[in-house]
Amino acid sequence: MNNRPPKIAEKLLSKLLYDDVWKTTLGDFEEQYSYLLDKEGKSKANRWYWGQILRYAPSKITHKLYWSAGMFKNYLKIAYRSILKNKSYSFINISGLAVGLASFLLIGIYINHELSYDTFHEDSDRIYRIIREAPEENYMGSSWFGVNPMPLTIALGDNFDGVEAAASFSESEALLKVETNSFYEQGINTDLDFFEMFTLEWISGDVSSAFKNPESVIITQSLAAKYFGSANPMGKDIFFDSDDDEPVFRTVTGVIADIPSNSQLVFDFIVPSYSLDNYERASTYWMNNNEYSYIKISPGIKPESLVPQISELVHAQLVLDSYYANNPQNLPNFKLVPIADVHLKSTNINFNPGKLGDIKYIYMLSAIAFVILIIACVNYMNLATARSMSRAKEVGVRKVNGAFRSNIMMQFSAEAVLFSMIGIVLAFAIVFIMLPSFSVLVDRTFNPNLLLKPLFWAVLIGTGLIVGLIAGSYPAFFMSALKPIGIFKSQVKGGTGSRKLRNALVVGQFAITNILIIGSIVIFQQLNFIKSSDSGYDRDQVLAVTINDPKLMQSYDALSQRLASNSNILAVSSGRYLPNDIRSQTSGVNWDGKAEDEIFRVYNGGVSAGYIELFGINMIAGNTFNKNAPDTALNMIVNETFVHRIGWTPEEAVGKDFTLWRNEGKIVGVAEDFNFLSYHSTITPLLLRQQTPRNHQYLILKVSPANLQQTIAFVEEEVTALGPDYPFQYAFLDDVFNNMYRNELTLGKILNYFTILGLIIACMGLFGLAAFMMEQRTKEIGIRKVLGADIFQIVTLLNKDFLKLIAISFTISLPLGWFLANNWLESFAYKITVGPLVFIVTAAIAFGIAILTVSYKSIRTATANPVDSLKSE
Amino acid sequence: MKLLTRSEEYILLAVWKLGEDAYSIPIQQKLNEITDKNWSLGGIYMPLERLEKRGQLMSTLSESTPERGGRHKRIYKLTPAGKKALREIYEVQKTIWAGIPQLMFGMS
Repeated sequence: MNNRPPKIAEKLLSKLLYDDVWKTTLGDFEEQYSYLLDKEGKSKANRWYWGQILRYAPSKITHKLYWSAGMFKNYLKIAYRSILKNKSYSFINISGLAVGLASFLLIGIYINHELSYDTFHEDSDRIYRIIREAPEENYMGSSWFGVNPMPLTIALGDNFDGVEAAASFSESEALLKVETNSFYEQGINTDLDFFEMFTLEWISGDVSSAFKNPESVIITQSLAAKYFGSANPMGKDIFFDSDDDEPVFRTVTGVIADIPSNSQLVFDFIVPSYSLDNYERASTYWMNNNEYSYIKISPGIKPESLVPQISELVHAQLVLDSYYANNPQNLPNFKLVPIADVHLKSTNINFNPGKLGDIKYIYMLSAIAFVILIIACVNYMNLATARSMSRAKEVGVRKVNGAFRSNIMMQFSAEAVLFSMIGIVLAFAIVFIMLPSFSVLVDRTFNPNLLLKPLFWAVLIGTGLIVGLIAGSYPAFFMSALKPIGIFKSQVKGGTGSRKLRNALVVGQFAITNILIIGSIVIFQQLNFIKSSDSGYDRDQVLAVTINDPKLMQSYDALSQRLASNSNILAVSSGRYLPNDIRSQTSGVNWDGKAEDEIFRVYNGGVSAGYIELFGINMIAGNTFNKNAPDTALNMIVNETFVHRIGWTPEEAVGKDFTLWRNEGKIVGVAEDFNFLSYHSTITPLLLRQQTPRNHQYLILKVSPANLQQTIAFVEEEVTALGPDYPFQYAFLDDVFNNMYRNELTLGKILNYFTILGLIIACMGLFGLAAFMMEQRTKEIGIRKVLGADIFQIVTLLNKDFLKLIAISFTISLPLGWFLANNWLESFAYKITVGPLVFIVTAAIAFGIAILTVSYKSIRTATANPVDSLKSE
Repeated sequence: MKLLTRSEEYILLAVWKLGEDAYSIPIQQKLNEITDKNWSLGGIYMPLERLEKRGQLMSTLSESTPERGGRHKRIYKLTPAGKKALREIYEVQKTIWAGIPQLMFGMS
């Protein structure tokens, strides 16, 4: 029979009684146990034994807590004293940590926002967007489209296997008017299925009654406030004027809460699509792709398994048309994209609702966030180890007085945690102050309650503590390993091992900073290239007035004459599109000698006479449009790529007959290629045709820089005199142009700020490190000076070590930076080449700043009087 | 010097009486015997330690025995200071009891 006490209990008890004094007690317990075992039986004995554990545990635990709390208080006190003792060192460390943490948090807030798009919808994991590939089409570099025919979702919503709900909508811009309040607003046209799919919060009204009447509209709370103030908007009328419909009064039948800022669908009103003019046709015609389509699939169904059925459904309808019957290879393909991916992964899809983000930038920014945090951590580690010499004696005394290694480790960790705690408080203050301007910088609206959310605090404090512990672990490990004997025999001179590590850290820090600098320069250069490049047309001092009133252009001739009479208006023209964005594409063209099955896609736009001259577009052959040409004549100007693609010379092309949409016309001139899309895509064939201005969207004016305000006021007066019902909207072409690269501009700006931050943090580290290294060498410098070295020699000597490190870091970051920069540039068709200049500038910045930082200290050290440094012991 | 408490007094007396075999378990049994109460082991460790710290007891580690799982015993021994303390408390008790027994026992 086993007459020993239970094993686990014995183990536990021995842990509780570990101290020296208690060693024999365990024996006592065992003796008592075997006594009880004999007398009272096993179970009683066991119970007694376990009872002892319960008895001893509480006192042991409180005992332990009491002493460790006491020790911890002591650690904090020492940490506090060492912060005060070396104020500049502490300042560098804490502010580095705070800035690093704050950058990390700001980027984290942005990324969190970007990743949260559309996840607020109920069952968002089951909602998918349908995208369509049209194999024969290539529009702006992609054959994928976000728009589909309306009957598709109608069919999918009608008891289709595996689909729980289906909804489609189209975007709509309309001029809304209530009494004298009149603004352009963004909305959507859809039907009741929309509400089954997407989670919208009803403030008044409900799904069942909102769309009973065709002349109804649902508006958001903020729209209601804008037009009706605090009055109840339900049942009130709003005048609607949009491209989709005849102008009409609509009654407010529902009010919903504002769309959250992380919604890809952005709108302020919802109009029932069945009330629109073209509904009959749109809802039955399968060849018209105008709707964003979403489906919610049944639980447990794989989205891929639905794709063949969707294709089948569409193909069955499309082959009824002779074009697809003859060209079955051109039938579309489909894909289902999770709704949460729409925001970040749609950059290569044509037509998307709302403002897109880019997953590439998310990766890039995450990397930057971590990199900055790492730089800040490295700073801490570096400075703490560099300071180890001045604190070695302290460790020695502690050890001699009986401190265990764990005590020393705890002490240094506690110090690091205290640093990071102060850093956390500062970081919070920085985030709090910077968040509004940051939200402008990244062009997003953040939830104002964000800073109060527990998740934010958890991340803030969690990151701070982790950073503190990681950064503190190395010094703690290093310092606690010192041997007291060595310390007092002053053998600790930082050891070659730790010096190597410090150097490696500085190299790493600057390598990262260099890469950031290279990235900033390349993005700056590319954006500068785009901004300043000759896009083939002149975009300076061009004022584009948006035409909202269709009647306005009927009196274009009179209007243009009156405008031209102003001496500050140099030229007047009009066009369907501005030359930076001619996005209409057709294959409905024909000419003599065109092959039967050849598909020739050409971008096209209607303009009035004077367009070519106003934009200073160079002609290679032929003439520009004639002002006096009859309305019936179809005159066209094509670009260089156009004639090359067909195989004509420019001279041959002039005078050729050309058929556009079965209308016969003539090519009157060939223009030099200009960039009519974006720098992301290459230049393709373009055709400009002369057209009466009736359908033109822009009135285009070349103005002189003098008296600009008056000129604009004059234009406004003239335009509103003719169309007083509509607001006056205008923009300068160069702004419109720059706006096309908003994502890139944003990235560039963000990168600039964080590069500067990274550089500052890295320099602070370098400065601190230099300061301590020089302190170590004070005597050496003194002796050198006594022996006749001059200041310049000494400064060179001191700087050399650091510059070597920067040089190494530069060789590391050069290929990496080159690779990353080219990777980013790949998305541009027209781009800069990453030349040596980038690297020269990067080197100049890195070396320049490093030299400044280090020299500030080294010059002071070198000019110090050797008498002072040598006499002190 | 502070006077001994009652439990300290008993423990010292028990140690004295037990002689060579004075370690925790027999001490506990002795106390149980004397007072006819159940003393817990934990209850005597503290005073033992305190008395040792005060120099009224001293302890040595003795051989181990199998029923103790091969662990040592801590054998206690009275020091001169312990004996002096016992005498002191005895004197105090003698004085304070003076005259009481006759009254008490005479009454019954």
